[in-house]
Amino acid sequence: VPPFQNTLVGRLAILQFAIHLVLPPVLYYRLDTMLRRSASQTFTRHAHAYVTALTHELELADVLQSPSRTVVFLDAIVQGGGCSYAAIEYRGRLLGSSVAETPEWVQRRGNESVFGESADDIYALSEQFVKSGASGAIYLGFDMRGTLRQLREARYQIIIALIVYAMASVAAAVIFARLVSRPITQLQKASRRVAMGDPAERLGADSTMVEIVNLANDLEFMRGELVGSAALLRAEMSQRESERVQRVILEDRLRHEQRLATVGTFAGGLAHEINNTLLPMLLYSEQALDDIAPEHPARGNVEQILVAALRASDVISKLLAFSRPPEKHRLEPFDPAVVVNEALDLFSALTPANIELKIDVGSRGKCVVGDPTLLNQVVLNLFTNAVYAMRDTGGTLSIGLTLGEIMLPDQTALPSRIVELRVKDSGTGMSRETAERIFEPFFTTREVGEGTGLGLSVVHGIITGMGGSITVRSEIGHGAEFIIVLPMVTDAGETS
Amino acid sequence: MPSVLVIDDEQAIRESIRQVLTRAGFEVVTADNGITGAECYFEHPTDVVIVDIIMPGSDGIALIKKIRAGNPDARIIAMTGGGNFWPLGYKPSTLVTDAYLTLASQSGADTLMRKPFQRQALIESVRALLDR
Repeated sequence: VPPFQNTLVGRLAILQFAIHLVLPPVLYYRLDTMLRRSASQTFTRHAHAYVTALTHELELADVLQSPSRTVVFLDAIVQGGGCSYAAIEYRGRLLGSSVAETPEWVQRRGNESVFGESADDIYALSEQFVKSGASGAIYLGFDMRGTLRQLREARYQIIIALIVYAMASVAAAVIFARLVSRPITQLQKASRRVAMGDPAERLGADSTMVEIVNLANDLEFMRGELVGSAALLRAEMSQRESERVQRVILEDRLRHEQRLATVGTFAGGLAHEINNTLLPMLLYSEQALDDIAPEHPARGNVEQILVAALRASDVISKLLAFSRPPEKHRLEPFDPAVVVNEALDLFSALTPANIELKIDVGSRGKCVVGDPTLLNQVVLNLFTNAVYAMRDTGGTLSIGLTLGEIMLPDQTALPSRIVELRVKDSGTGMSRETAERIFEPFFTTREVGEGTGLGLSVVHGIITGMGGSITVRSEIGHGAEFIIVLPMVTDAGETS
Repeated sequence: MPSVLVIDDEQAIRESIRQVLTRAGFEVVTADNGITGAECYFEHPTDVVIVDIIMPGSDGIALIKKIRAGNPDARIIAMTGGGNFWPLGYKPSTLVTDAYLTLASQSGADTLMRKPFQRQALIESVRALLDR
């Protein structure tokens, strides 16, 4: 919560308060001075005019003929003129009104009175006159209390009016500030919700103030733009991400294929070298056996050399088993299900009792082009590996053959129709490192003498030669699944 | 005594074949490349020629063609230790074992042999050609 003095309402309230701390006293002082001056002028002018009129009357009329007429005249002045006393000095005699007491100081006080500044609130006034050759004076005491009371009342009115004005001003400022700040706060809260990730929040304000309505409209427009560009950005990002993933997959595959190709090329060159080395070994050891007598101890050793060389020759011939150009193989449409079933017929007899076979193959029609005997070899190889992986524990060997469609990332937007063969075991599984190298020639996890490490590289070669791909999914302790994808052909033999 | 010319860039191969065939009753001459092999043959034509297909410089295919062109009745055995490992390293321009042998056959070789082979196979191939 921000401090009160930092809010719009607070600022306006403080400003108003400061203004009204200064303005009403000043106003009050000015008004009071004006009022007092005006009242004073009016009062004194009236008093002087009255006295002058009376003086003229005294000089012209015969009021002064007898004291009794003079007293009647003075009584009329007191009763009708609002005077607290009235007296006339004539021919050495001072006569006062009979309805009001005449103070003893009337002659003394003379014309020195100032409005509102006498202790008894009497404005004393005197005027000389001449009548019938004799001079005299009239003394009047005007009562200022009525006028002063009116002045006091007016002063109260002014004070009350100023207080009400000040309070109303502060209140109006606070109300106005609230009217401005409430829609701004609404906008701010809505903006925050938008910023916090609720782009559907509409930015509006309950106000008819043009500035605020414009601000809200512009903010709403900006939000629309932001939401649009954010959506665009997100779409672009997810597109880029999927492209990146596809590129990584492709790069990964390319790298893998390149490594296999390199190892393969190397293996080919190696085979040539080894064969050239094995030939003299074979010929020389056979020659040597001719020369060694049957009972000679070296004979057995040379025989072992011959056996070892023949074994090496066998390994190399396996390595080169597929070094025939593809046109040497048959190229015909066939039903992969038939091949898998034939392999299963052959294989199920050899399967140990602790291994359960789960088969979902059916008949798929002649949907693959290639040499069925090669696919047969692939299937047998995968089955043998699966059984080997489950030799100690037993388990389930699942074989599935399905037709489907895939999107090739490097091809056109049309999906490609494929045949998918899955061979899954529940055996020991393998590590990621092993899975990466499993198709390399001579790569084997088996004990020396148990495998040549050529089986899966040959499988890979056959599948690649058919235009397909083979991948492995595995985790240590969770078995392994080999997935073969082959391009599917139509009945006419055309690759779809 | 029938004569055999052995042309191979590997000395151990030339010598082991010479020993086997000499003991089997043939007269054996050797050469370590295609050029001297051809000179040798046309100077003293032998009954049988054994040619390694893959040799540095002038290869066995060229030699077979040359001999066949010079002597249509020549008896030629072509042998090879293999080429590239086809499914993985195969490139359409690269000849592999069978392709080499096919090419050798088309170029005029009578008998094709894959290295390594055993003594019996070698002697039988030479005799079979001589009996033709």
